[in-house]
Amino acid sequence: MATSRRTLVLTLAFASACGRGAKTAPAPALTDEVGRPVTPRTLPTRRVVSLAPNVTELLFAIGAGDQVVGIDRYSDQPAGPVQRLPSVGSDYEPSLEKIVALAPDLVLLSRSANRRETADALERLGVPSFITETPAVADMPRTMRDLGTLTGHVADAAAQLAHLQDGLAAVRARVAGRPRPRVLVVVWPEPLYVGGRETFTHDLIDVAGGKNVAADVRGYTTFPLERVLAAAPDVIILPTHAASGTGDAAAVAYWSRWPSIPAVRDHRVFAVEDAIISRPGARLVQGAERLAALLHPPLGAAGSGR
Amino acid sequence: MSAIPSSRLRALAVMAGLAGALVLALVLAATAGVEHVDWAAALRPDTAEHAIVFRARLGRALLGAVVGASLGAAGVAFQTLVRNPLADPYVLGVSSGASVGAATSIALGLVGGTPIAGCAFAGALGAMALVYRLGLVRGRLVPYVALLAGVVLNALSWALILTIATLARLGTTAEILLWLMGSLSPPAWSRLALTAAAVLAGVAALQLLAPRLNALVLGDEGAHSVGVDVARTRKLLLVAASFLTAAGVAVAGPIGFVAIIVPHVLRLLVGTDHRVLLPASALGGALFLSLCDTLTRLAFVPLGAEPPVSVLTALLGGPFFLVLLWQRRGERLF
Repeated sequence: MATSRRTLVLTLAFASACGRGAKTAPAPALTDEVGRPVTPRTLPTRRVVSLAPNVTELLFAIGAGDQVVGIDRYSDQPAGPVQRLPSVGSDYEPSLEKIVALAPDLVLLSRSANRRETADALERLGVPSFITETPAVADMPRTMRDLGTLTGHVADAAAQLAHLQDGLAAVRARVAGRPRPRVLVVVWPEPLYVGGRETFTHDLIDVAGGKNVAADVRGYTTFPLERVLAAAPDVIILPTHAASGTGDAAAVAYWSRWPSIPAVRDHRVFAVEDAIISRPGARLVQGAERLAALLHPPLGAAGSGR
Repeated sequence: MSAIPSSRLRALAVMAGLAGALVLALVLAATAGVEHVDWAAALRPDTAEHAIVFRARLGRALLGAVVGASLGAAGVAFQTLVRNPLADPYVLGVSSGASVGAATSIALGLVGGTPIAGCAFAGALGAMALVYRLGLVRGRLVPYVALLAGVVLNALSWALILTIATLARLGTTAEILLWLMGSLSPPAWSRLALTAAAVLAGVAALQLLAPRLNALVLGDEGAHSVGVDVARTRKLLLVAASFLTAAGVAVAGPIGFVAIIVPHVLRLLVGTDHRVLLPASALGGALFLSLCDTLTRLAFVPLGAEPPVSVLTALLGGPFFLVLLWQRRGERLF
């Protein structure tokens, strides 16, 4: 991982040493976050297409929003600007011809949201692409720096990164020393799927002063209900992307059938917008603050739902 | 055909054996699991142990038994209805209809179990009504027309599900797929009771039709000659069996294999008299699915994940059935 960043930096250094990027000369070869060689049409890029919601969020956050000329249909943040951008289809199967028609210098993908085949197909069509890989909060610096370098917003990316790291550190400091409630993240009730370690939500629960009771499983996975009953979580978090608040209410109400769980007994089952707690995007500080308010109510207005 | 007392005795012995095994399977389900349980605490209500033993374990096993019974009995009915040993309740589009209903519910954000089950049930009944109507030729239900309609409806439903999944919001696709895998979750008591009542009614309806099902095996001419109204019987059969399937699939999603192998195994054990075969297949389905579900909970603990029960029904049922088929080769299977 560190190697790929070093490669990027070295190749960039080499590129600048070779003189100003005459438009006819191809941009230098560099390596993306999954180790593919990438040659953007220009560097920094002027036109990019983002195929993942978290990448879109980050591009706008580091001031590269003006360079975004197309997005996937799940990109929903920042709410105002993305509505004015053309959609190129789903993350899984975007329209290649729409992407080509937008004439991007570079297409940005995320390893978890997109398919490698999309990048390969774009390559065959002569469209360069860069795959980001951000499996944990600890990987955010690499992705943010890479996006900054690619779009020519190095300083903005560094500032955003500092904002993220300072923000998380501040939340951590506020909950330091408090008893850590046991937390369960339920992504789907029937069959029961929970969020284990190596998820963004797990990392943020740790930051927000909680203890994930499913920390012994990895990623999003099935989980025996009897383990939930035995673990007796104090708080249940339901990451939600429901179309309506009624969906959230139904998801919360579902748990009333298990009154022996402390979180249910004490009405501490909360629906939280999943984009702020499970997406490697620009609002992780907001997600950590929200979780901290729910896990440690005196810290702020807990409220319910979103 | 089973007027011979010895075959009656054999049938009774098989049924008693199945019922006994079902009780043992439920006891196993209640006592086995990943968590160590303090039994004194389990007997007090409002404890976590009580919830684990009686609801998480036993409730789920009972739901498995109810769904298994619906699939076992419906399998017998469909195989006799279309006179094809390969028929299962899903061929006629009932589970696809349920899946479209569930997918719609999930995409609309109507989540949380009960709304999904309700939409799935509505979808299953809608598909059944469609197949029934399309299968009517000049007022008579023609099995192969209904079968063809069901097969096409399956393809159409799948296209609809994929469309819904593609148009839905991020994350919803995965949730729809989870439902489509078919699995059992500890139910609310009200849902378990409702499902059990529906399944009991469906099995009872089929049981009333059992003598006429015996006649249907003789072929249309044969059935006519013993005074059975073939057209009417087929209609009743389709409605009762589809209703039964809908009740099961609505709460568990499409669980494969039970409806195919359970009736075949029981035909080998108790013969083809539907008065015995139907209740025996219901019991057999109940035993098979609740046992498979308990094994699903236990066998994969070291791997840290629970596969959907439909994986185990095929993994266990498949080889078992193939061995039986091999041992009984040459005997009449249907």
